[in-house]
Amino acid sequence: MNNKRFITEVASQTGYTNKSTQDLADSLIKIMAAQLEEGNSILVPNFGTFEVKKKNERIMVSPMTQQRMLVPPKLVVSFKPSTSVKDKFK
Amino acid sequence: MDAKVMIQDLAKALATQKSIDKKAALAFVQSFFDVILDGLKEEKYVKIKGLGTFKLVDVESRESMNIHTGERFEIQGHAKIGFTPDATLKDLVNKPFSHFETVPLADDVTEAELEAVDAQFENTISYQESDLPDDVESDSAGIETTDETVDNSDDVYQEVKSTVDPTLVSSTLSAPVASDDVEEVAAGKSSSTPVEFYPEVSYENTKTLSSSPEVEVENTDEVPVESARIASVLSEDDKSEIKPEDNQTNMEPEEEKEYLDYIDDSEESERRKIRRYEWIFGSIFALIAMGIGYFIGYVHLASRFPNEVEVIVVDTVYIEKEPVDSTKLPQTEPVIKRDETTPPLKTDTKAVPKTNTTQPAKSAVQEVKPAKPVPQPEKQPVQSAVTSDYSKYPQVAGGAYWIVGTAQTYKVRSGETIRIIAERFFGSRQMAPYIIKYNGISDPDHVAEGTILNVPKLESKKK
Repeated sequence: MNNKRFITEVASQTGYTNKSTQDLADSLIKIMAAQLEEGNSILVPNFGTFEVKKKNERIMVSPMTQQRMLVPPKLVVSFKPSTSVKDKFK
Repeated sequence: MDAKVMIQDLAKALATQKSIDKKAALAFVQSFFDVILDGLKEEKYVKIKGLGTFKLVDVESRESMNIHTGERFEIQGHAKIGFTPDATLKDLVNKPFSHFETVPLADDVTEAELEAVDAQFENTISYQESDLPDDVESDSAGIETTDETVDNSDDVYQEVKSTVDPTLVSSTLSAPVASDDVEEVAAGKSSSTPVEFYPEVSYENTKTLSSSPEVEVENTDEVPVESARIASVLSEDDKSEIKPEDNQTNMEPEEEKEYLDYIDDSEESERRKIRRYEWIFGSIFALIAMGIGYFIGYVHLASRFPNEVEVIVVDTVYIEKEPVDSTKLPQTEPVIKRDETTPPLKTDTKAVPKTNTTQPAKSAVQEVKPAKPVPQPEKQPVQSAVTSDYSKYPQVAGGAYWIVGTAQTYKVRSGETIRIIAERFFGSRQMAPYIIKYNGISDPDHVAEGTILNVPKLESKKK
């Protein structure tokens, strides 16, 4: 399901037009992104948790050149589905 | 930071931002996530612009083991929801670390080394901090000595000795290193400071080493040569710098051993740092010493073939003032004397008048020179009369006091160390080396209860 179909689906469920749905979705995503940027985690019941995790620096070996690289630490967004959702997809 | 945000909070923020009903906003957020799940169910794949991609990943069934019972069982194959954040979201979240870049590593760097570098970095920082006060202290000491050295070489000699020694023997290990530092600095600042300071240190060394025949032989040979060499060095500054460092290298290991005797276990880590510093200094000195050795050898060789040496350009500064034992090494002097133009004959005549064995020191530099290579105190020109008395007893190399006899005897009690005894009799634990030396204790860390010690009577070298 691509973005366009997703928006259409949400629009049909909520009764908004596609355009305004896209608008609202963008705002929602921006709000979520702002929270994640702060380091907060987002709990969505019956869906899962978005949180920011820190990945430590590590040494990587390039498979092409065998050159060893030092990969810097980074912050990544992780999503952990709730147990109810997990069961749903079993 | 690390707060938990519920969808109600999201809906509230959305409502205020878009100025819509809160309830409607909540409903929208709810359906937003519901649709994601629906989409996943239908297509196993949902892509949302700005947020990322949700994907259902099939996990194959696999065997596992119950860690408690050791029973094997199968984990059923299932679907797993994967989430890949959108590039914009990824960058946004990683903003604090965005300045880092992946760097290629050199082949020989290991992970352990990287950690070691980190640790070292921390160490050096702490070391520098702890070192500060000592540095200042010994700096002032160095300056003090310079002033005095100017007028009276004899006094200076002892003066310097007394100032240097406590630092050497002292239990706080950072002190000697600090003084090393200072010497380095001083060398840069003024030429006169190191001249006095260095020879002094070196003298102690040779004294410590005097037991080894090798050193002795070398020294006796060196006396005149050394002075010759110094005369030949063009500027005074050079002289002071080169000469002392030569000796410094000799003492490095011996000195360190001495330290180790007095180190408390708690200072072990500090000692390690210091060792590193010593190693660095030592290697620098060793390099310089090699250069000097080459030069000495050159002069020495030249002295054997006086006629051929005339090529050497030498500066004859104060050779005439300095009566040198010409019987020992008649050739060296001439060599120095000679400029390119002077005939060999002239040198011979000059060498003849210098026949007295002990010579009065003309300058501080010259004074210290003969003293350094001569291992026995009697041979020191100035102190020959006095030291013969002291030589009856074992003396602490480089100490500020002479051991002149036994003050009293003392029976070691339970739980006492030499340092504690030293504190009782001399008021300072740093005096322990005198007791150790005087009693010839081989293992100062373990002195049996009931051992009878002779407490030495001390006399200050400084009059």
